[in-house]
Amino acid sequence: MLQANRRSALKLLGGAALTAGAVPAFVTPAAAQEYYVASKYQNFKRGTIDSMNPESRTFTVVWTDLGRFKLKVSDLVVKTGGASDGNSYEQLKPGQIVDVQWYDYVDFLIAPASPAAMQQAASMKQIGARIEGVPGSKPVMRLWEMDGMVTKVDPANSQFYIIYKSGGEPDRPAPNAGEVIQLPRVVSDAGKAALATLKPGDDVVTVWSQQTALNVKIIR
Amino acid sequence: MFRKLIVLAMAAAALGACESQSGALMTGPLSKTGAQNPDQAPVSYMVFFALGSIKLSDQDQNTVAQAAQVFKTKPNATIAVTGYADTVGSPSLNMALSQQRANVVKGLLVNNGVPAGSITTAASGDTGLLVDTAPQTNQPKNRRVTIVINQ
Repeated sequence: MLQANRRSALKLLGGAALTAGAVPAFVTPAAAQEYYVASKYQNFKRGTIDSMNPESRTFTVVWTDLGRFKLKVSDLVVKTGGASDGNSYEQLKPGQIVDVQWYDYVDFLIAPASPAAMQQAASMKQIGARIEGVPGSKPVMRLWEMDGMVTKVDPANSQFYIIYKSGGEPDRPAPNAGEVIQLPRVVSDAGKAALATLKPGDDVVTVWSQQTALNVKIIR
Repeated sequence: MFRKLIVLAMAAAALGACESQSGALMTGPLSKTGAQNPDQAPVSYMVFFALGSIKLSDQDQNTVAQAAQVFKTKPNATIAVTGYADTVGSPSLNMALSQQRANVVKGLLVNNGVPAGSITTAASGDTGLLVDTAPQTNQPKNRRVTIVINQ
């Protein structure tokens, strides 16, 4: 059931790196692994900045077509110096209409809780994820972990729920929360295969990429 | 070197081509039990009990207190408290036990400032198991109370 969306550096060098899938984890030392978010998970949306949080280098955006939609963005990467480049984070302000190139949550690991799975999750978080199709790029996406007991599985929507002991805010742990959390939609094939094996009562370790904006352009 | 540049150019072109996929995979924010807008989604908690017990651990008391705090931030919210038991013992005993567990949680919510009139309780006995088990199975994950804050 263990699934990890990852490729090894050796595969990358060998030019066969574009096939991610269900592979046994813990095969390769963490230092030799690279994690990628597939470009198919990329989105382009126009929205209005609702709020900024410089401390965590994030902002919340409201999409024009979907109504109020909170997008938590972290590790914002903004290119500068070219005609097609976006604006720097410091130039962004609430109320601005912006075009955002961003990636949604992507599942990287859904595994039964075990010391090995927790170790794998810690390694993944430390390394971060790169963007598929950009060889040699630095890891630009933070990976975050959420572990707990499965309370409900919703295969039709590719989702499941867990009791999370840190309050549902990865950046703001609150011990002893006991809150039931709906995890993001599972999008990878390997993740869906893992989802199919889940049942209420299972203790799981999960790792996801953070919703990440790569480029933000101020329209007005 | 030239080959690398071509690969990079192709990657950039591929990224650009994805623009037509706008709106794909719109996952909602990491929400609490349901809807895309977490401000309107129900918020759920679970607390657990020892075998045959209606006593909450310190951790679970903290969970109930947190639920009470969340309730206070939501005007016109209501709370549904449902008690459950595992399959050890008779169905009638488990029904009574699960009701007692729900009542304990309701009492703690009230102690934490939630108006009693905003809380409904229910008992499920040894039905509605979280983990499917055979009769007379000691399963801690089934001895629980769910707290659902509806907004």
